[in-house]
Amino acid sequence: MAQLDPRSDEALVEAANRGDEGAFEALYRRHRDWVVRLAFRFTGSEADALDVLQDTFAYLLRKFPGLRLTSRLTTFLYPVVKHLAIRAARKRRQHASGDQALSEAQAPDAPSQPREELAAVLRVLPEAQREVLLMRFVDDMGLRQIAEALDVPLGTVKSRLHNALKALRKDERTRAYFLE
Amino acid sequence: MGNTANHPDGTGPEAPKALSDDLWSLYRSRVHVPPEVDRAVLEMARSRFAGRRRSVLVLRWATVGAAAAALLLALSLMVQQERPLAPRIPSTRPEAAVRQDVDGNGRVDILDAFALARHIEARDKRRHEWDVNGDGDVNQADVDTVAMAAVSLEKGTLQ
Amino acid sequence: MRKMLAALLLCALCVAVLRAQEPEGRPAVRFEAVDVYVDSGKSPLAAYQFELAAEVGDMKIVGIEGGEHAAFKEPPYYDPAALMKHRVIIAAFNTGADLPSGKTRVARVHVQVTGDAEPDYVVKLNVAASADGKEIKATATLAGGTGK
Repeated sequence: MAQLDPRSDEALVEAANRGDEGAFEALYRRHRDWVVRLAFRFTGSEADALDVLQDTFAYLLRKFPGLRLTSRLTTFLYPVVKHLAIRAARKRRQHASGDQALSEAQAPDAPSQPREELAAVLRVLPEAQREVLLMRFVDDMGLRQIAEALDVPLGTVKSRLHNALKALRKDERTRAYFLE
Repeated sequence: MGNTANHPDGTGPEAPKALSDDLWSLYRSRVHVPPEVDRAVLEMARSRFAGRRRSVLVLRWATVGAAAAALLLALSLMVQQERPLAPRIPSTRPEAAVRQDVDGNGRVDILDAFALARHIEARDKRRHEWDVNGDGDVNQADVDTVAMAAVSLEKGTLQ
Repeated sequence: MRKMLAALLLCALCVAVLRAQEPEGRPAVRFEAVDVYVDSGKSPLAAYQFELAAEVGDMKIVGIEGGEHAAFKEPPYYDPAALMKHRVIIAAFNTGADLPSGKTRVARVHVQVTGDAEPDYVVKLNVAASADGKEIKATATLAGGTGK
């Protein structure tokens, strides 16, 4: 396995701007799994997620030279992955069975009961709250990163996260997580 | 594993560790990325970066060629006393943009994607330059690559 | 005199009641849908590309849908970077035989508008073509953009 590149995302982007192909590869290897995981979350389809993975990095590739990164690459790529994935999911749904509401893909089947119940509660959370919850605790993004990626005020992110956790705390199926 | 560890902005509600761990487990990717996908992405990158390096070389050689052509032209003018032609401007378009200009009209727009799609549907004899994304095949992915180049916001503002 | 005063008071009361019932000012953030039409005259339309921008007003693009005819019902091509910005280039084509002619809605652009100023949308048709790929004369127009 290739040694991990220690340079920051910003440094790698600068290097790629100068024509360093290895820097792009380092960015790909660093963020590949996050992109495909996020794409799968929105599409619910492995094939679509892999397509979105390639489309996302094709999109990123076209930005060089001239890309100026002012945050982490995940913040920059989040809206790109989201919209490519939503478009892919929409196409798949339209081919399958006419008009259906667009939303983030449901949580996959959970192997254990507590997770089953967590998955069930997440399904009924408002999409905006669920999205912020997952960006925070699955994608490990900071609140400012989330605000930047979604282009909403920081206060909105905090409020959505607060309301999502409150809903989980109130629901008897997930209340146990919050008991000491 | 999911974590509630430090974040640069620190503030904001935290979740119990069991919850963040279960969230992470629920949404942990079950998608295996096959090696051929990695290869396709990295090959695409290789082509693009190589194209940029080649375009620098093409520019240098084209500049030399243009200078030579201008010299020959000047000599012929001295002999024939015809109306001078403008020297040929060397092409500075990267190789990728040249490939995307499927109909060869000097601009990349949806008609290039449309032309490529019609060639593919008509099963026309494959041309190397139609492999726009450099993956070794000529298919819908190339059409999509051209279409996305056509709608790229980097093209400039309304004229 | 008393009757006149009573009449004046009644009028003042009516005015106060009516003003209280006036609709609220426009919401600070609202969503609108802008429909884009292409009129290709008698020629069947097989491909189009246009650019849409807002020259005045605070507008961000939040979604893009396809058109009304089956040939352009699928979501068109656009740069994802355009989402949450005020400018977008949209394009689509169809290689099939069932194509619209005349005026047809090719796309619907959902926008988020902030503030009172109504965005001044501008559309520029870059190119339109018939089934054989040849450019045809066509015009692009807009409709909608009213608050929802």
